[in-house]
Amino acid sequence: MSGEQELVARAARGDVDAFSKLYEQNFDRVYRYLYVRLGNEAESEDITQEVFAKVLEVISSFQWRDVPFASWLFRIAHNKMIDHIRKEKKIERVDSEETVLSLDDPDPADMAEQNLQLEKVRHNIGRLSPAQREVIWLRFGAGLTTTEVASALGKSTGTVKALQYNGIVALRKMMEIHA
Amino acid sequence: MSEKFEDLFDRYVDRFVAGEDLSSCVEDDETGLSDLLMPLLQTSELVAHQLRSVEPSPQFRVAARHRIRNLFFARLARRESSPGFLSMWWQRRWATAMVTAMVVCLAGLGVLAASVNALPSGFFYPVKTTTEQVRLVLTTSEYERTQLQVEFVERRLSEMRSMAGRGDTEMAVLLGGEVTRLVVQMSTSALFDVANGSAITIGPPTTEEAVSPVAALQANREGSLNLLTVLLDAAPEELKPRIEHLMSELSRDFDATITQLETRTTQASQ
Repeated sequence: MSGEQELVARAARGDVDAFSKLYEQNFDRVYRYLYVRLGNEAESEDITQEVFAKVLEVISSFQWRDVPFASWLFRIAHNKMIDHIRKEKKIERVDSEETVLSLDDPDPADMAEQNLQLEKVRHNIGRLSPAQREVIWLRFGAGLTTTEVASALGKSTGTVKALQYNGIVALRKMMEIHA
Repeated sequence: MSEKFEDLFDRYVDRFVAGEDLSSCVEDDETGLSDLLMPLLQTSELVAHQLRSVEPSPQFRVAARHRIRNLFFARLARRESSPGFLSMWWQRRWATAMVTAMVVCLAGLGVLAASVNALPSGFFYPVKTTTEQVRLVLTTSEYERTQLQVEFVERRLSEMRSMAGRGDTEMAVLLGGEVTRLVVQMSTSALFDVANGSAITIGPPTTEEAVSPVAALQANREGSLNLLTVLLDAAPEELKPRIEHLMSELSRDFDATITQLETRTTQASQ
C-alpha cells in the first residue's frame, strides 16, 4: 500500500490527522484550479469549501481502482463547479467572448499588473478548445501529473500530452498575434 | 517526431509546475532540443508562473480549515452515535454468541416478527439486521445460505425504495451500496462456479457526475446486475429462477429509486 493509499484509508476510517494531511496537501491547488476557471475569489472560496465537505462525506466510499486520489478529488471539484455554474445559470464568460485579450489591451479599472497578467493568461486559456483548456487547467492550475490528468478525464496519457502540447502551441500563437 | 516532442515537452512542464524556471531547465538539457522548443517553453513558463501565483487568502485559509475540522468531528460524532445497522452485524463477528442469545430472548417476546418490516429509521431495525446475521451464521447449507442472501438483498431493495420515497436520499444510496455488498458476498459461495468471487470488482462511477446520488445508485445497479448475470450462468439449475427473479426486482427497484431522486431534484430546482 502506497503512502497516499494508506493516508486515504486512515482518513476514511475517521483519522483526523490523515484527513488534515490530505486537506493541506490539496487545499491550495483545488482553490487555484477553481479560481483560474471562475476568475472570482468569493465563488472559488465557496466551492473550495463545498469540495472538501463533499470529500469528507464520501471519502469512506473511495476505493482504489487504479484511480489516483487527486483524480478523484478533482472530479469532485469539477462537478461542484459545473453544479455551481448551472445553479447560477452562468455561462463561462470566456466561451462567449470573440476577442482575445492582448498585452496592449487597456487596463481594466484599477487592476494590479500581476492580476492583469493573470487575467490575460486565463482569458487566453479560455480560448482554447474545451479539451485543451481542461488539460491546461488541471496540469498548470491544479498541478496534477499527466497520469492524474489522464485518469481524471478518462483519457490516455498520450492524448493528454498531445492536448497539452497543442494547447501551448495555440497559446503561443495568441500571444504572438497580440504582442 | 511529434510524439517525442510531446514527451520531452511534458517533462519540462513537470518542472515548471514544480516551480523551476526556464534557465535551470534548459541548463541540464541533454537532448539538444530545447532550442527548438524554446518559444513553447517560454509560454509554458509564463502560464505556470501566472497560475502558480493564485493563492487563497490567509483569512480564508484559516476560516476554511476551522470549518472543515468542525464538519469532520460532526460527522465522526454522528457515525459513532449510530454505529448501527450497516456496520454492526458484519464487523463484530466476535459478538455472534451474544447476539444469538439476544435473538433467542427477543424471539420469546415476539419482537423478531415485529421487526421484519422495520425500516432503517425505525426502532426495530437493528433487531432485523442482527437477526439476519444470526440466520446466516447458523445456516450450514450453502444452498440455504444463498437463498437467505437473496432474501436479504430483496429486503434492502425494498427498504431503498421506501427510504427514497420518504426523501432520505443518503440512506437510499447507502442501501444501494449494501445491495451491491450482499451480491458480492453471495458470489463467494461455493455454489457458484466462479473462480474467485472477490475478483469480480465493481468499479466506482466514472461519469462526470461521479459523486451524485443518482450516479452512485446507477453504478450499484449496473455492478450488481453484471455480477448477477455472471452468477446466473454459474448457478445450479434449481437456483436460476430465484436469481432471475432477483435481477428483475433489482432493476425495477433501482430504476424506481433513481426516478424518485431525479424527480425530487427536478422539483427542487424549479
